[in-house]
Amino acid sequence: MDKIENFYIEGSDYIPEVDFNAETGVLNISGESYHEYTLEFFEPIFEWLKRYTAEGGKKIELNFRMSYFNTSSSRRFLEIMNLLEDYHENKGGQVVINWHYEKNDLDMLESGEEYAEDVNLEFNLLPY
Amino acid sequence: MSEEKLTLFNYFNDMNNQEIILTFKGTISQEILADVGISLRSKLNSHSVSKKTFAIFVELAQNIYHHSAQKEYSAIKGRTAGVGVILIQNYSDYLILSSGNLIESYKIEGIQERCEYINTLSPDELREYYMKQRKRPTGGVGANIGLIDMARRSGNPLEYQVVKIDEYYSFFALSIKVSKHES
Repeated sequence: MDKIENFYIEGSDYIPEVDFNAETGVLNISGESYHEYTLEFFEPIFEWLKRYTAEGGKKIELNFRMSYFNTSSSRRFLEIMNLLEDYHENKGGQVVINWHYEKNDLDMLESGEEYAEDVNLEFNLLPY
Repeated sequence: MSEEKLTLFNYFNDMNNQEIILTFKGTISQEILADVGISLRSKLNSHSVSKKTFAIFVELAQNIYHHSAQKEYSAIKGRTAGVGVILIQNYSDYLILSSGNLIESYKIEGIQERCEYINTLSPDELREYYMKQRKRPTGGVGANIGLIDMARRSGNPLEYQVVKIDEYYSFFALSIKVSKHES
């Protein structure tokens, strides 16, 4: 199998920084996310994740450190988590999700709690 | 010329009298949204109120962008985007965000029902509805949870107005109130 390269998207005002390390399995998504064509923006992210999870048994740590995201990003985040949930349950992956939120940002904490309820994975809510 | 000046002056006064701090007509791109975010942070003292206001503004603007029946071609983006109007009124205790755009008349009933339904729900029920809808597949560009999200953040009912234009098109206006008092 081909070695999978790292994946990186530089963040801007309306797109998050995406930093996926293929060797360590640490995947970071941070910043703001309200791209007007969210589906298209997330497409390469899903493609990379599908290739990365083609081989079973990897250890993956997915970190979200968001300050704001719109509703279409909210749906895409859930789809990413569902993809990893499937990997964990059916392909021997070891997946943990860390939801980092600014400690006074109760909306962001609540968003994390809702994802934690929705996905069956180890899920940590971490204030900073 | 003098008439033109007078009209603009009236327009400006009207906006002042209605406490309008920001208004925009056209296609509201992500680049414009980013600037609005910065502007709101400087205009509103409370960080949580400005975040909430920005979040609602983005949903309103992106609804227009994707769903307005009136489209405009952008040479920079190489595709069309929806046109509408959006404004923010800043009163001492609360803000009102409003958006308006053309919509195909056959879609009106569905949207009205959706708004009415959302307005009957308690915060816990809204949370549940949001989570349920987010899991359902959609065929469209968005997540289909924008209205619920705005109602949750605002804590107030969604207010809407429909003006029939002709057989095919109506004007749909939506207003969301945001309290400045921390909940």
